[in-house]
Amino acid sequence: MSIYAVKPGWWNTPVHREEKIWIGVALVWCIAITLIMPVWHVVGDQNSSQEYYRISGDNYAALTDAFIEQYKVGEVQGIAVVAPPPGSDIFLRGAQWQWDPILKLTQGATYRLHLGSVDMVHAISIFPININFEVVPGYDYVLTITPTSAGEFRVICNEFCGIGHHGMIGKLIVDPA
Amino acid sequence: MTTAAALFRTCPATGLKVHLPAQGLIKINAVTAIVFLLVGGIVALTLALTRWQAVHLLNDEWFYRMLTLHGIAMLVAWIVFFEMAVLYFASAILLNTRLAVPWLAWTQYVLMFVGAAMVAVEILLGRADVMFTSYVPLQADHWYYLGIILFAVGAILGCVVFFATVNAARVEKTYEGSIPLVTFGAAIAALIAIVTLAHGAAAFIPTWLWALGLVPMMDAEIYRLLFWGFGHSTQQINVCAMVSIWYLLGTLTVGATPLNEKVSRSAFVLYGLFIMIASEHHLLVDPGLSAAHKSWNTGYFMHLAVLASMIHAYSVPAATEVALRKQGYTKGLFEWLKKAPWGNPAWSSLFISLVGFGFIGGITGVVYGTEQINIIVHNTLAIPGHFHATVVVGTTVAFMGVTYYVLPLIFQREVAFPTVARLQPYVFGLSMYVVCIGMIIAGRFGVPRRSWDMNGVDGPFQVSFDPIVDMALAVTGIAAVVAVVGGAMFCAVAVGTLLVGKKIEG
Amino acid sequence: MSEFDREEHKPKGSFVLIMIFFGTFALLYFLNWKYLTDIWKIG
Repeated sequence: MSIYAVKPGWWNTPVHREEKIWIGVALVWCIAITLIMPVWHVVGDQNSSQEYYRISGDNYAALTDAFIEQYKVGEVQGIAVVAPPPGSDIFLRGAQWQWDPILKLTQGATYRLHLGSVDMVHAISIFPININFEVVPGYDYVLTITPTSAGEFRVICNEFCGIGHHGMIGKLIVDPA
Repeated sequence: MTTAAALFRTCPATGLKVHLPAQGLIKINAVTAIVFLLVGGIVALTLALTRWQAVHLLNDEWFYRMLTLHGIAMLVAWIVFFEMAVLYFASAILLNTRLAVPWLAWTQYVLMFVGAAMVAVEILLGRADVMFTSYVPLQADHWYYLGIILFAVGAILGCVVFFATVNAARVEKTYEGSIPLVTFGAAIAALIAIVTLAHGAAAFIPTWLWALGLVPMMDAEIYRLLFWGFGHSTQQINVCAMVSIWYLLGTLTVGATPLNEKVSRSAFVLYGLFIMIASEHHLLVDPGLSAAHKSWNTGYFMHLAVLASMIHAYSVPAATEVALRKQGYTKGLFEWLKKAPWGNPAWSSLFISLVGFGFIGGITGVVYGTEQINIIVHNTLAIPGHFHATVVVGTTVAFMGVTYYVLPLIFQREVAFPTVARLQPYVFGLSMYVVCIGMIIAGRFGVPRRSWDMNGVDGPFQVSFDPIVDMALAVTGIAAVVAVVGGAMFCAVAVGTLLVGKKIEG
Repeated sequence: MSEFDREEHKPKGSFVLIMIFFGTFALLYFLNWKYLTDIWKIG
């Protein structure tokens, strides 16, 4: 009875066979699903990045502005469209309540995507691919990213960042290779 | 000793000695918990009817405000007040002893009540539109943070009273051998609670001082780390308390005895040792931590805390199975399950909680907490889908189930409206299954959580989702309405019992 | 002292239930890894 005190000697009660089997299965499973995580860093293509730098909001904004100036090819809805070359460092800036610039990438090319915020905590969701990362003020978070599908994507903010949060939707274009 | 003896009564049904001051404290904490459940439930209705895009009830400002209030009323107030009642029950009542330092327990209640009320008022006045997480640099009014701090201090005092009571029982030898399993589980929950609340202090005291303008803002990532040491670990207290309640319900409903005390207690120890570090799974797609750190910590130190849950997942139903087989239901594999007391709301609550927590909440928790898989679910609606399955289907249903025994035992009244009570776990629990699964499916298609509008009406670009999403959210909305009805049925039975329930002499 | 010296008191049904649980767990776990491999390359 789980509601009454137990008499001394309870520690020596043997564990019955089915329960032993189940604990064994569960233990092996738990260790296996722990090991998959480091193994995937070696063999897998989808991992969260470990590369980040501390940076002030102002400095991050300056880096983004310089990046936009260098590769700007147009403007949509007042937001700059930039077409950086494959392999380059690309910047995405979160601010209440807009993502900029609109990145124009090439399918199959690899980029170093810098994520940063100049005010609140934001987060990106690349829709409909469903890639989600947190964007934290004070940090420049660098993801090495290779778009493997082409099309027009949305960048949805999915961390609450104030009352206008749901309007914080950006665009990302991947041209076919 | 006549005065001391007058402070006790003996429960005619269980033979347990009930300390009257403990009984009073259990009552007031449980009633306050249910009041917050009612508030949170009404708020939940407005939220569900807003996320269901076809209805879209609230405007954006009130949606975020109500979402903040829902988190505080449910995750914090309902659950922690009820846990205080559980701690006092598992110590004073189950150990046949007096509640140590009742005045400190009353201080716990007053601090928690004042804190929760302050927080609720601040939110309703629109001075804390920051969500349950209040990530800096978002800033609420300083009274909001003070309210949370007072609440947390109160909860720590409740844990202190619990341990003082267990110690008093030990010194005064009110029990023989080792403390009951349920009390042991509650003790682990209380230990986790103390560590958790310390993280809460580390996150909220500097933030409060910042809101007062006295110190600079904490680093946003460090706040997230400390906050989740509090925010998620609070849910680990719930897991531990819930599993204790499962064992309690197994005993109360069918007379189950734990299969093996050594196994069940060791599993609780695994919770105590390893569950805290898992809080860092909230930072899996954040800057600031190394991959090794993320794998190790979110692996709960080789998932040993998950192992604990998996052990309980077998040992709880198996204990009830053995008890029912001993009552003669021995045919085949499942006669015991068919003949189980499904009309007893405590039993149906136990099973609905156990199955829903395991199959929906537990599995998704481990899967989504895997370092890499988190990339495809972080901050999507699948996350609320996961934690409603743990905290609502798991913890809340278990707490509701045990209430059907607390009412006669502690409030000394027969449960009113027995038909409503019999149906309540099914209406509430099963509709919550649907709510959770609906949110998980929508999240799979990239629907963000905490969003008033997911189609981009206020943004520069529109977003159109797979038609499955519209269906999933409509089903979620309808099921949520049913769940609110189920929650209201619970409140009606609880309040009805207090007002018109037949008194039990004892 | 075994809890269930008598064969018919063994919790055989719960063992089947827990195996169903384990199967569901493994299935959903690997299904989500499959979903993960569908997204872009990220490191």
